[in-house]
Amino acid sequence: MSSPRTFLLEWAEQARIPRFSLKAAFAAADIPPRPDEWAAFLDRLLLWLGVLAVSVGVLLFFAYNWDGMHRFAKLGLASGLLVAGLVGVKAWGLGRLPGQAALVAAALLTGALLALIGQIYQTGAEAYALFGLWAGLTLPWAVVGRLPALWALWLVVANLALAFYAPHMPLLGSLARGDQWLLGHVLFNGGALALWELGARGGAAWLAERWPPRWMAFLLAAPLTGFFVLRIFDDHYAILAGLLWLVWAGAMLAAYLSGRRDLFMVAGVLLAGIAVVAALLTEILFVAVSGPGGVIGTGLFIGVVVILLSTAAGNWLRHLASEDAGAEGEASHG
Amino acid sequence: MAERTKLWHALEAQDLITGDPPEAAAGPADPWFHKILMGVSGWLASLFFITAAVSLAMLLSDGDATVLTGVGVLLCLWAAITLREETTPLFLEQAAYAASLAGQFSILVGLERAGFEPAALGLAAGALGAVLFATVPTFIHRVWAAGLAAVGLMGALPAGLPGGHLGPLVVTAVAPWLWLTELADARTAVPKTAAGYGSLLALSLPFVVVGLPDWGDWNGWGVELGAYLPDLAVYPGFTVLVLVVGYRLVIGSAPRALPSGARWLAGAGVAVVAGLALLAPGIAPFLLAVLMGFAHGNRVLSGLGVILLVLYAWRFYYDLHVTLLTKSGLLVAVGLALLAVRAGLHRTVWAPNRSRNDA
Repeated sequence: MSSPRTFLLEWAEQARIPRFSLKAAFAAADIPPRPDEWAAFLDRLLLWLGVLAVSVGVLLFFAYNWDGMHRFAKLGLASGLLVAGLVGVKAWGLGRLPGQAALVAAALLTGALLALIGQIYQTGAEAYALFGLWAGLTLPWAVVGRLPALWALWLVVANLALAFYAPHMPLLGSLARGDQWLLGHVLFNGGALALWELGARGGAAWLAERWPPRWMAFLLAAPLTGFFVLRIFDDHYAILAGLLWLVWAGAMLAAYLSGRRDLFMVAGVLLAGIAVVAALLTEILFVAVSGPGGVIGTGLFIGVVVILLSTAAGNWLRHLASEDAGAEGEASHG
Repeated sequence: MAERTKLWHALEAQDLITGDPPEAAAGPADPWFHKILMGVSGWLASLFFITAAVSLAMLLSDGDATVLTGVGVLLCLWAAITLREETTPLFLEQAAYAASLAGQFSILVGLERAGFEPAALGLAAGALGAVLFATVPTFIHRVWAAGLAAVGLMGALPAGLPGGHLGPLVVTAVAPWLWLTELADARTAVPKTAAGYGSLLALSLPFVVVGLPDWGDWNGWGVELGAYLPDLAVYPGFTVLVLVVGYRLVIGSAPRALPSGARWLAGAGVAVVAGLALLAPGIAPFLLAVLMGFAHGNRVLSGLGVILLVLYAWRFYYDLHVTLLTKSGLLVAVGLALLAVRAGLHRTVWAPNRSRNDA
């Protein structure tokens, strides 16, 4: 989506804006933030950085084995901070930024408390149990809070739980052959993305932000494509991995071309496809050729194929963007 | 399209634009992820071209330095000629981009094989990046060329100088200057934007990838910093940068009619961050990128700044040779200081200003 800034820089490059008038043009386009916008931005920046620094500092504190402190003191301190966070949520309310930050802090401190319990009582729990419990306990807060940042944190924790659990799954464990953590991400983030988009299409206003589903899509695309590429070079279960990848690519294109169009998602699928084709050609051709002459020809051929594919992808994206721009123009005139 | 035309007419009414209005048939500008797709694909293709170029040099001359460098120069020359054309088909543009990357790699490997020392290689990389930046006008290529020039400069500068961190400081000073003066001249706005992105991405090498304590070792200068030891010859420079640029951005944003106490408090906030930069200099470029991105309506720059800031924070604490308890204490102290500044600003600057506006 083009912004006023993009238009202005484009016109500046075309020498349509007088040489020393670009700043005035930016001001005329209302791009520089007003003082109240600066205040809101600095407010958020200071709050989130401050809360993040304090929360991670507390997490590090409990990662440090401080033998001098009695276990009840440690537990009391961790629990006290967690309760303080929840009191902050109640006092400020979820409609205000401090309340939202307090809820995120409380979610982080829940993990610290669980780690401390495991450390003190040597429960012998597996890592997946710790992260799974953390995700389970904070899920109601994520549902009630309706904060994209909290859902992003919850997603990371749940991903870790599933990735640690994957080796224990009978079919998945043998299929993944050591890449269980990749498939853990794939399975979970695919489900999370689907749920998010279903909710967004259902009309939930707080799900309208685009960065969380794009982030989930990246967490889904990168390991899935990585898994397929590794299987290509490993030769085991490559076909199964390929089928899984194709199903994903088809589903993404169907979802983001016909329904809620999001060209970022389409671009991601195209880029993943180019990487997969390059990997396939590398595996097939470099094995078949020998000698420097063969390597030269193969390198040039695959490079040209990648360029052809990226050109086609780039042109198609431009065409889709024009269609979107045309549809927006008609909607605004209509 | 409607937004573009509306903006055009608004500027036309204030005599801020010349020429004919944008054509209705013209498509929208490429979104940023289109550029990423093309950039990453070009880089991927260049890996295969590099393989071909190096194999060709091996075939012709058993990897002779002159041949490698010559092949690289030819590739870069072809790329520059192709990309300077006004109407280059996208396929050729991509091919030229990939060829340029392969050519740059070939030149640098050739120079290395010819016996260039790391500092000289850094200078050569810096010069190559600068020449390509000046001669090839494509935006993505300019970002890469600026990054190469910055990395080369950072690799070359420390030679013979104390501390070994002068390179990152110089690039850190250049990046904010580029962003602050981005809009000063319409002719240089887009090149400065590209150079700004390239410099910022280049700074991730010493601050995030290698780690500042190891930078002197990594670039061949050979200084062992051992346990964490601030480079007192150079680090104050980062502090000064944050003070100067941060003050201009943050204090400049506050309403004019402010009590002096509020200005002191806002200044104190900037000073806290500037003091942190003495210990953790990576705060300087990445936090300033976040602020400048916001100031110029550039969400990509702000987002990049946030990501690099978080990565730097992880790297900094990883490299810090102190106990977890000390790290924890430092983080909590920093967090509380930031929250205290925020609370103070609410009481002295923002709340009174809201009351004034409401009255």
